[in-house]
Amino acid sequence: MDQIRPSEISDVLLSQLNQIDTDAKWEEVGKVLQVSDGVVRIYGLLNARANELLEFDNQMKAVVMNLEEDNVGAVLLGPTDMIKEGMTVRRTGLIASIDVSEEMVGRVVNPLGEPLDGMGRIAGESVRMPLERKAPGVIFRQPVTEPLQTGLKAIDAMIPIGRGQRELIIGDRQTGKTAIAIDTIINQRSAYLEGKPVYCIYVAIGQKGSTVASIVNTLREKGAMDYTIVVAATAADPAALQYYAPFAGAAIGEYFRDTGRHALVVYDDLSKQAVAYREVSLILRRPSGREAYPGDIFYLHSRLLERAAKIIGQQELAEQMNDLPESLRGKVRAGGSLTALPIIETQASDVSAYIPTNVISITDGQIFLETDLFNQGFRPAINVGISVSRVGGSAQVKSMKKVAGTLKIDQAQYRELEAFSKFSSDLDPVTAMALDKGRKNNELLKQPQYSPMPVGEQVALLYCGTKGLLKELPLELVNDFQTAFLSKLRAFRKEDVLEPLGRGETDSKIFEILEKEALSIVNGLKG
Amino acid sequence: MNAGSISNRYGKAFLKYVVQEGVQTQALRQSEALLKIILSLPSLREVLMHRPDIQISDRLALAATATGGNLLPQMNRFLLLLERKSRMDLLDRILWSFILQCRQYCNVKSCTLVTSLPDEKLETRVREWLQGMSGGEICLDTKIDQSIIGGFVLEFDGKRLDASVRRQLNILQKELVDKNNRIV
Repeated sequence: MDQIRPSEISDVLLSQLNQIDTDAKWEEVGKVLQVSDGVVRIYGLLNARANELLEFDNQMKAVVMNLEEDNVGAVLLGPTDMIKEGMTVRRTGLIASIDVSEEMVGRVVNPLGEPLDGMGRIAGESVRMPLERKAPGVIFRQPVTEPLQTGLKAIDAMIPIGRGQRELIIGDRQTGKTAIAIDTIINQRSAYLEGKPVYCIYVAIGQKGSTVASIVNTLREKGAMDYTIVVAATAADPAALQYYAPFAGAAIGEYFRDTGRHALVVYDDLSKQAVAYREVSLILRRPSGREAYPGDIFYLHSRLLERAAKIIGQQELAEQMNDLPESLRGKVRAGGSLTALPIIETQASDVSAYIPTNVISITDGQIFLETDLFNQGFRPAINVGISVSRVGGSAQVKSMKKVAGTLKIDQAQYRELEAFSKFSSDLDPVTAMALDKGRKNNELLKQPQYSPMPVGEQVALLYCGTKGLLKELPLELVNDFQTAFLSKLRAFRKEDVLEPLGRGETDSKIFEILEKEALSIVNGLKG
Repeated sequence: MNAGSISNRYGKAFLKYVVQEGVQTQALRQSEALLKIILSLPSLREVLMHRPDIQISDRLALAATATGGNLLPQMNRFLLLLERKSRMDLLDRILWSFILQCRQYCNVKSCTLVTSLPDEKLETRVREWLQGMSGGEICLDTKIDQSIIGGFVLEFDGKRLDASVRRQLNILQKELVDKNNRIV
């Protein structure tokens, strides 16, 4: 039976009723003239503003996209069949926005903030965040200096991501793009347990409902839903919702960013958002350009991704941030960050297509995944040669920078040597050694799904690879070495090796211990 | 993208024509009736606007029947012009543009009053009030809709005043649910 709450005493309800304003007010209305595939043309509404939220008599919402000479074009945020020609639509005076609250964490919502997980209404004090908002200006930002650990050796060592950065994950279908994003989210659990959470927002755009459900289940099983919000606009949702989903994710992320916390938003994926925007634009009869995308497709992605930022640490300046929503005033805290991991799906590894080149040029680097590497069993299937992080280097922990500073170049040289060595049967000892080291480093960089690794363990392991401590070990035993080495360090060397390395500390004593432990395991495995 | 400008040009030309002929009031009434029927009957809209394979004379006869009588000769001529210029697909937008311009020219304000029961007293008061406010001719269309429960809904010049009991109950429900986090 339902519990009666103190707020439901008759007198309290009566006072609430007295406070409600039911006075009739003049409101601007228009008539629907045409409905077509998620887009309506409305006559009237002469004072409507761009991006304004409109409401139909049946409570369905639409957003103004086109302001024309004699009519207003709006995209529907619900099923088209609920709207008929001749229906009345009214202006709300509000810009399309989403209500964000602390209680939203752990929930699955649609781009309007309505819950989809069947766990009831989202309670708590909410803040209205506009979907479209200007990115913070130059003076309200600071350089990216703090690492965002993904827990993936290949990324944290060679393509480090910093808090406030935009790092693109790009690749063909079935190459592990989503897996990298999910692993990164799962890896934030340790920060959450330490009381310094990185709030994660996973935005699923145009995916199958079953895929979204399976991702949510995985996150729940790994305990990642404690600090994660999933925004879902599935393939069955109208194109307008798919178009707005990343903006909703960015708005939620901005709430955490502007209240001085760290957030990570994953847009999975922006190619589908671009397709949804193309659909809406074509129905709105906007002129089309290359690949039938509208002319402002670049601006669509650049204005979205610019919202990822590291906010300045000075409180007085942060409070004056540009375009701050009214509801956020007084709640702003300095030093927050919003990191973005947009995902782009390529067709037949063609990175020179329209949308991939656009997003590559907007972001601060890209992680390129290859089908061939994936099929060879090298997972995560990152092509280190063309993957870069333009700002992440300065955000890498010191110990990792010291140990893996040359790993990217070493691996590139190894690949080049390997290609040449195929033509020759005789190899000089130096080349043979470089090849052996490269192969073993490659083995060390392999990592199974859903098993992110703390940074201290990553540094310890990569130290063995880069220092050539495994040269006596056969290639097929590298994996066994990794397991034995990490087990030993976790059991006996947590305080004096793993924890200091995780904090970025480096001293010769730690490296001596690592060398000693590694050699003892290598000798043991060799028998 | 240019549909708005095109419909405005045709609307403006038709207004000049009916003013020249002195039939602007009748043309306005007929355009309003035609637009109303086009919006309420999608199949008629389809035939009138998007079926060039049906002879124009048949479509004009259909439009005349739908508006409850004969079309003005000026209206007839205008529709023939639209057909000849292949602009019948913009008929609804052109009519709307003409209606707006013509109402402004004739200082006619269109108004819809929705009540739950017939109320002549309210009708007279609303008419007088609007006349006093706008200073022009008021074209009041009354409707009975019991779903509003009580009160009235007034639509005037692109604005709506919803003083119905239904709206007030909806607001009460929404606010109480929001404040107490309960689905009532």
